Amino acid sequence: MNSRVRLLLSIGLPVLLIIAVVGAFLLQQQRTNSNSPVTSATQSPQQTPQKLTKMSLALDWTPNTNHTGIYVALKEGWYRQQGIDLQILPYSPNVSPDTLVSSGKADVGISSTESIVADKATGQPVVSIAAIIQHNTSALVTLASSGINRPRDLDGKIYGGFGAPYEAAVVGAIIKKDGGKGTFKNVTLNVNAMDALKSHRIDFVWVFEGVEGIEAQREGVKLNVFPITNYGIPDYYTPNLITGPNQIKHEPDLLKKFMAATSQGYEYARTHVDESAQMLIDEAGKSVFPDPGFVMASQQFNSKHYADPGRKWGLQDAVAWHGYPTFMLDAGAIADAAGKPVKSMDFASLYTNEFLTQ
Amino acid sequence: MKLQRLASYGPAFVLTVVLLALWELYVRSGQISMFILPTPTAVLQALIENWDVIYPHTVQTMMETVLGLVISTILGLLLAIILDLSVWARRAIYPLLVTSQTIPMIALAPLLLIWFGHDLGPKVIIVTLYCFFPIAVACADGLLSSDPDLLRLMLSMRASRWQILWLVRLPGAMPAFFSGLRIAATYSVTGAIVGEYVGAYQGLGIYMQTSANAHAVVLVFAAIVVTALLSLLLFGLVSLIERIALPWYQGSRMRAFGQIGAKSRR
Repeated sequence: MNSRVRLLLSIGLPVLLIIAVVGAFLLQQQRTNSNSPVTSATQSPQQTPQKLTKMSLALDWTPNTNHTGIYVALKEGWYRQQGIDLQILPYSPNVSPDTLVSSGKADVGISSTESIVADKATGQPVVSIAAIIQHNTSALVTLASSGINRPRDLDGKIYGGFGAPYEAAVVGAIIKKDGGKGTFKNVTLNVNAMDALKSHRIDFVWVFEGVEGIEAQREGVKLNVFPITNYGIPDYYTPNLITGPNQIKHEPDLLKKFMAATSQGYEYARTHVDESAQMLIDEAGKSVFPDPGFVMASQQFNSKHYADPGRKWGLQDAVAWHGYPTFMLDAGAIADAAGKPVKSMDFASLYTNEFLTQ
Repeated sequence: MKLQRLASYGPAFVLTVVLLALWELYVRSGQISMFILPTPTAVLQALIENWDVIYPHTVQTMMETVLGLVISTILGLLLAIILDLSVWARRAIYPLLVTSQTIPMIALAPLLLIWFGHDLGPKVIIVTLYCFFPIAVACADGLLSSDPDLLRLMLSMRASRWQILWLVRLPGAMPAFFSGLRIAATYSVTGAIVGEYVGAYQGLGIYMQTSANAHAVVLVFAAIVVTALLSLLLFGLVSLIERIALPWYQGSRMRAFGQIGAKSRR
């Protein structure tokens, strides 16, 4: 090898690598674009002559059966019929959907009553525009083999938490309500709490019955379940669809159209359990759901809980927006941006039903 | 020569196989649940079965890595030359360079996401932040350590500053540059994964995250295997280019090692 060949090779090899990688990348993008029906050019002959408006939605977790209605509406093209090109932003554990919505990086998001109250306190308000699940389905759970059969037995045990400011107040209140002292060790975990529970690293966790509860059932893990609303915690909505005050001011019509398609999706999911679960799997992708059976079982649970029989999906009442937020304020779980506890708040500004079609 | 080089990987190969076999046996013996720690064969099987899903993620991660690495290389070389221009430049810039490495990426990554969105940009920035430093520092050190006799020779022939840089000092700094580049190449894929972990449409980082949330530990391991292979591939490529570009260096190093080995054996 003479020096010219060496020079050529040592420049050529990196260039080749770059060309190969960029080529593969572009090819991949082209393939996904041609596969997905979302590209706006392909569906012009439909009954929507107007241009599609881009909207983005921030998830609160990786796609799951709380999100089914949205994926159903995507799959059925109901957003496009409303003139919306909806883009679901990838879930990020380190950036809350509330932040994305209030900073304008997302138009709508999925959040929960707790976060919405906390956002208001820190001066980054978001507004709940629909209750995705009408009743709280969360519970404290222990392994059945642990011998902890009542919340008051949790005194002195280890709780695997997710690092929210209100957790300790809620868990403490449940234990006290059952006659305990409300003292327990709180470990904030960045890993799946159920795994930690199963390997006996912690004694109890706070989970959704419709997700982790079903999962444990399928794995044959026996749990003791203490639904939090059975122990004096006021019922509340979680999760919720949220948007920001800015978005409400500038694009109310768009929000109305968004909610029309979303309601349609959730109403469909209430009555078509298997079909809607399948649509969720199809739209969110195989990599998200390695176990379709779990999705079906979880959907079975959630479809019943989206709304009470005979009631429209998404509606929110003042009662729910009073009880739990008051409980949180009283417990000292809510602090302002400077870390001082907040003791009062205008709850009516936290939610609205105005974008739901009447 | 070729055969000899291959044979030199023998010990690593044997050790890897033994470790994997122990792992397989340990899990199979029922000491630990397959859900928590899958066996190597299960990982391999999952990797093959899910390759159609993993492939797009791999391409995405590779794109971010290569872009970041290219930018780092250019930036690192430029910075090294600037650092070398004057003592003042070195004094002014060097502390900033070091400080840039003290930023905890885990804290910065979510902010980058809020500032720049979910696309390629923030990931490339993170890869660059990880990678430019070893290149810049190694290359700057290499520039400082040029052979003084050669410098004197150039000066005696009235070479200009740039001629000296181009003809003597940069070629002399190449071994150091490649050392830095090899470190950077090893880190680069991990950098991209960190960037994706906080939020991305696609990429091995987000794939690991969704798999972990779906309790598919075996898929997390599959993604880790791909990550390791990518890193090794980049490392190997840099080594290969070094071998091609600096034959004199390779040769002399081999000889030196051989001598040391021969002496110690006696």
